[in-house]
Amino acid sequence: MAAVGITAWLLEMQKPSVPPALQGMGGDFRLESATGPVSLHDFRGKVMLVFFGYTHCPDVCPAALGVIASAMQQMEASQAGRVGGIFISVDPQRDTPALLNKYVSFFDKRIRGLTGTREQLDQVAAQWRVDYEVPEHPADANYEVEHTNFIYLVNRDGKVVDLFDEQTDPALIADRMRPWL
Amino acid sequence: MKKTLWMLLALLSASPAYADDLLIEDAWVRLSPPVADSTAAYMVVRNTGSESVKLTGVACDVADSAGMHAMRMDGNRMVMSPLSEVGIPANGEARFSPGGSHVMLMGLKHPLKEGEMVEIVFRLSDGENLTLSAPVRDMRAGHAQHSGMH
Repeated sequence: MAAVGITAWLLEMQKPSVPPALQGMGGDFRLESATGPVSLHDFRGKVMLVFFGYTHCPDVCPAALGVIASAMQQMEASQAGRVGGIFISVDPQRDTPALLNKYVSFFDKRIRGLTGTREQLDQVAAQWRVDYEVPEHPADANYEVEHTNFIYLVNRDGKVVDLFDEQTDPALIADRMRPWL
Repeated sequence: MKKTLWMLLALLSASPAYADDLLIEDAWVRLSPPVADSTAAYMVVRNTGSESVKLTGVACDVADSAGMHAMRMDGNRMVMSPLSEVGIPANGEARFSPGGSHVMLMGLKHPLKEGEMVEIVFRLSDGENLTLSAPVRDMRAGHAQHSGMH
């Protein structure tokens, strides 16, 4: 029993420290998916990569989701089911949960596409320090959404422990995920 | 009238042909998920000539509209802004790359397929067109590791 305790303590000590700037960033939320409401705490026990964006994004979002998918696919087979991704669209006017589901599945089936009302998204964005702006346009217009390009690494307890972006090498993200598994 | 026209044509043909001095390298178009209606094209346009050239516009027949876009960080927000022109100095280059300036293709007329060749036409400051063909690349893991992602 003591050995188990020591092992657990040793494993805990191997985890990298969380930079102070990230403490207090993030937190639980409840948003809509194609199959109903989803909360961050539904993924407790898994190491998650989270990104905010929108599907009409031509460059940064597909690059970021590609990086997230690639990082997850570099995990060992035994860890494959213990990692996941979340893509939160801040453009709910155009991105329905059903469309988001199809969009994220293209990259990896373990990525979930979520969105919510403007109020819900504003609240999540404030918690996660996401800075974004959706211009006033009809849904059928071509418009761009300015947004933060962080890829958040969230540990098994739902805490943000590291930050990357769409330019980060997926191998490095995979390396940073492993100690948290 | 006819004489003026001939003089004009002579003048036009005498002006330097910028397009001949421009080389296109590493051109590719990002394969977007089937439900997405926009994507981006990337390439390096190298000016081997002794005069600077400006790209003044871009068109692509697979999209309702195309445009050159710059990307910059504003605080921690990625901001895209349209570029009305991109200058390329003599012996210099214009680089369109992921996370940087890119050619945005908006309102795709059909879902692109990996390997499909997409024709992109830049308009130059001298009125000429520079036409290039760029393959669609699937950037997902295990698909195109030879890619332009550095």
